[in-house]
Amino acid sequence: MTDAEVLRATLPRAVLAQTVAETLGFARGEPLAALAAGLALCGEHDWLVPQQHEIVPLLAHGVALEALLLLHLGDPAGGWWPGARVLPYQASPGAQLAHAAGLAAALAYREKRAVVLAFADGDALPQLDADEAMRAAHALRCPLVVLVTSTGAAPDDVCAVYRAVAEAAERARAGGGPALLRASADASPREALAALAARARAAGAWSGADERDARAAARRGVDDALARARAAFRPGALQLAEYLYYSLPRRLAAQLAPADGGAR
Amino acid sequence: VKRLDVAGALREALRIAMAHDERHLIVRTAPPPGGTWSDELARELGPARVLTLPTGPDAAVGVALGLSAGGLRPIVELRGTEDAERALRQLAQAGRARQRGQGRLSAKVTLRAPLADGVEALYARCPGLRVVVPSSPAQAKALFLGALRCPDPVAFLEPAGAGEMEDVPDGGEPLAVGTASLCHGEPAEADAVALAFGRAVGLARAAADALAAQGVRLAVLDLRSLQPLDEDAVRAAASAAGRCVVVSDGPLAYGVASELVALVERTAFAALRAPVACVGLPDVPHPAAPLEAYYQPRVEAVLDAVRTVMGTGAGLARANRTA
Repeated sequence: MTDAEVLRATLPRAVLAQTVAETLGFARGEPLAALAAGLALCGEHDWLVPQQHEIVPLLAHGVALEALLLLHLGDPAGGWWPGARVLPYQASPGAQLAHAAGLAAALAYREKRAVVLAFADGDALPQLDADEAMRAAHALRCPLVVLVTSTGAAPDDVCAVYRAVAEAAERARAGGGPALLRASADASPREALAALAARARAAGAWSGADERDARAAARRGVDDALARARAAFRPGALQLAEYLYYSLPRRLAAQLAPADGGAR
Repeated sequence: VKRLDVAGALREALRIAMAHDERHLIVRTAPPPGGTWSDELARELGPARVLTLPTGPDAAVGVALGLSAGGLRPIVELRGTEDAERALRQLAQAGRARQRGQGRLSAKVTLRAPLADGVEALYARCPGLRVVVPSSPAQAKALFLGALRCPDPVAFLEPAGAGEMEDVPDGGEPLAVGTASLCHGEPAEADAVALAFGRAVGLARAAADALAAQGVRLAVLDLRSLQPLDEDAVRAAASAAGRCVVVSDGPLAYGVASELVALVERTAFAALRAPVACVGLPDVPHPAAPLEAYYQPRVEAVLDAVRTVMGTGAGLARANRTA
């Protein structure tokens, strides 16, 4: 993709991410670097490994916005992402990187020409987790790309991030092994988005009308998905144990039965 | 039939499983200078089936989880209690992974680790994770094959020195995870029943033999599975015998022994003629070799516990009659 194409593709995603963050009350939005990085995956078997708060990059990999919003409302049923090549969210920061290395090794073992892109929040990432996952990935020559985003003084150029991730992904896909990339993210996604939009406008890749359309589409999409998610949310005690075991242990069913009855 | 110890029986099980299903891989950290049980398999099967990682045990379990999500069936080798403890974070993730994905992705990891220092209780507290402990070589082979077939992640904990050499059948018949078995006597015809797992099963059986010479009948229930416990079998055995001794291969406090006492009290209280007695490891760190003899429970401790429940039982029975 050219820089103009990257800008043009990243901006609607950034607008959507900001709309989701405002709707759900997230203190921080998604780093623009992660949005641009997601554009670099193109193989039909490629996988994403999120940490815990990514939303927009997952949509392009088959996860429904309604499911993600349902999950963020607190319903575990929102973790049902049929057909999506995305690992579940990971609550323990950094634990997902070893999973990503294993997943990439499995894809290579099964001779799929695929790449795994894993995200990590550099502000919360234990260094040991990054080191060990990359050591494992190097030993297994995994097709893995890890993007670590940390809050910095100024955000990295999304076009440069896209190019770096795309190059690393192609190298990994060709058997060249894993890569870990670090990118800076602005502490204020709103300001980062404004700066990105200004740059895109200057390059002729974005207009005021584009931005209005993107904001209207994002608002409509988030509102519709949120309404569907709220309608689908049916909290119940048995959800606590659903899918925990292949079949629900009798003891667990007995523990949850009073709470389930009480909730009704 | 081959005459094998637990390690040999597990090697047989692994050979059968890995020949039968190419999705099985062994994941291990760098082997120590003295080598490990998986070295022979690594030579036989090559580095594609035995992955040696330059990481700690926690990352090795994490990589195995990713392999499982990618459609493989990894078997993780952990060595030593410290490894087993350090792997706990990712093992907890293994238990939760399928729920996070709402059943979409596999989290089928089988862990082989030593049983020591109460690690069985730590693992049994991880929701979604199954925990099994064999008591003999033949059982170890069948139970390991059962653990591989179980759709849930399973921690297979090997008791040090469990069972001497014994004849192990050649076949590959699995033993389902989650079932206990009576391995000595019938609770309904016994004066007491011992609930035991791992190496403690051998202790309980030795105590039963010694007590038989004194006219006391002790039945022994081999739990085999700690998570889930076979609650029906425990309740039936405790109810039938009326007196119960827990013989644990782990620490006494905040562990499987406490769980068993609670289970018996909860499900068989009306049939009990005496409070449940416990034999297990003292609540101290695992000592150096010269002090090991004072740390591990001995047959005499089981005999004392049985005498206690018999004596207390008689006292309670008299008290009940008086009332």
